[in-house]
Amino acid sequence: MEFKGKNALVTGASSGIGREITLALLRTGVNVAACARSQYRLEELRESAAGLEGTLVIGGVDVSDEDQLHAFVEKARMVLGPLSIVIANAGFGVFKPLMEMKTEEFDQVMATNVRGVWLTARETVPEMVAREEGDIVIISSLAGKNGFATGTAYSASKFAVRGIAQSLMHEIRQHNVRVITVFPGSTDTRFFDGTPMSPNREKILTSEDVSDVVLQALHSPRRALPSEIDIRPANPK
Amino acid sequence: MSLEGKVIWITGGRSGIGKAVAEVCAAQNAHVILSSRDADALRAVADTMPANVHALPCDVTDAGQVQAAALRIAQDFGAVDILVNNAGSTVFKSFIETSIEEFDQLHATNLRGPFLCSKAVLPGMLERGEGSIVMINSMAALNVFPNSSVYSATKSGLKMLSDCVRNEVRGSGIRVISIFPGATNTPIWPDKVREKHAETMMTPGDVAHAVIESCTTSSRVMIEEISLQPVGGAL
Repeated sequence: MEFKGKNALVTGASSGIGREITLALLRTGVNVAACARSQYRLEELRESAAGLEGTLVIGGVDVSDEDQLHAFVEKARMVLGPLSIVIANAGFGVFKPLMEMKTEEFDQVMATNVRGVWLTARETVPEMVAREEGDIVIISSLAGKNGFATGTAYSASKFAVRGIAQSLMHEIRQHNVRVITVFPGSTDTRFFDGTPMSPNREKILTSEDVSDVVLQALHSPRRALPSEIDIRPANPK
Repeated sequence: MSLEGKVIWITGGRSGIGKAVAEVCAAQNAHVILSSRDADALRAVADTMPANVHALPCDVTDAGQVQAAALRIAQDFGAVDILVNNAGSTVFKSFIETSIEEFDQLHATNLRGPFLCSKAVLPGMLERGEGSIVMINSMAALNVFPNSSVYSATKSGLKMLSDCVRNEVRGSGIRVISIFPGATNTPIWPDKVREKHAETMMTPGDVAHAVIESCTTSSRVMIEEISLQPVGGAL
């Protein structure tokens, strides 16, 4: 598939996997509407993207906020044109035993990881279906296939995302819109900052590793839909 | 990672996905060893392919033949870098209609075959601390399809075998990769189905693309599983 000149939306674009995918798309000539909650880190992204081929549009958005997301998607369409690549990447984690987790923390995880992905799809899928062209990539996690201690909120949210993805795939595949879910294992992003989890950073995936796999999937022959891709570090801790 | 000079053993290589993988590997200057039970047909196919594709007849259900084939590859080409366990067969019959012989035959090809071939190359891969074993599985391992009870059982058995082997060798530099293709236009399907659904089905080349991508990612990464389905829908 020729990427140059296509338009993409990336959520959670200011750091980690979302940031790498944004830069990788821009390098191949894709124009990217990149959103995240942190306006400051989006400005940093803009600096890193200087000189790359694609056009970058940034916006401070909380993906769980329907109005904010809607406004940004509308802006992206106005500035760039129709979107044909959507990367639903924004994710949030609180890792605590159930007995220590607050209701607000559970709600916050669900709001970003489940409601955010659902809203991102609903804001972008109708246009792709109407144009019979597009890919939506959902960044889940291997926690979306396996539970683990301290994961009652996070793991549950990622299991839910798999349900959204599988159902959506059945709804729209016949319109040549692919729903691709990527399940990475532990990845070296800011994600673990401030959490009690401390993976060996040399033996976990990098954001670039995950971004490479996402770009490969987007480039795969259109007749084939890589609906689920599980990746782990080859040499984990 | 480049495939140039790599030794790649593909079972069930006479047609379909195996042959498509061989074509891509050959174009990237790998040493490709194609195996199949039917020696004459295999040689005829290999003769149409570039000189770096070699026919090595082998019935993957026969432990002696698999051992002999592995030895022969080691002598002629060196250690196997990538094993593609592709040989597979099915019968489209209801559970009631499926005979005991068919049950045994499907288990032999779809489960015992990958077991024997993987066993033949894994010790060498562990010694060298590198290598990839690709299992061409099927969406039938994950979802229920009509008239496929035994096939599905063998394929979900293969998924668990793959998961356990991967778990055992984790950290050793060896990748165990499961690809779960949906309907692909290969001779495993009756001609009628292939004609009717030719537009919808994936081509062997589509699946080969995923196989090659998963084997050539950075060595830091293990793509453990890919579900690959025809975008137009299941048959």
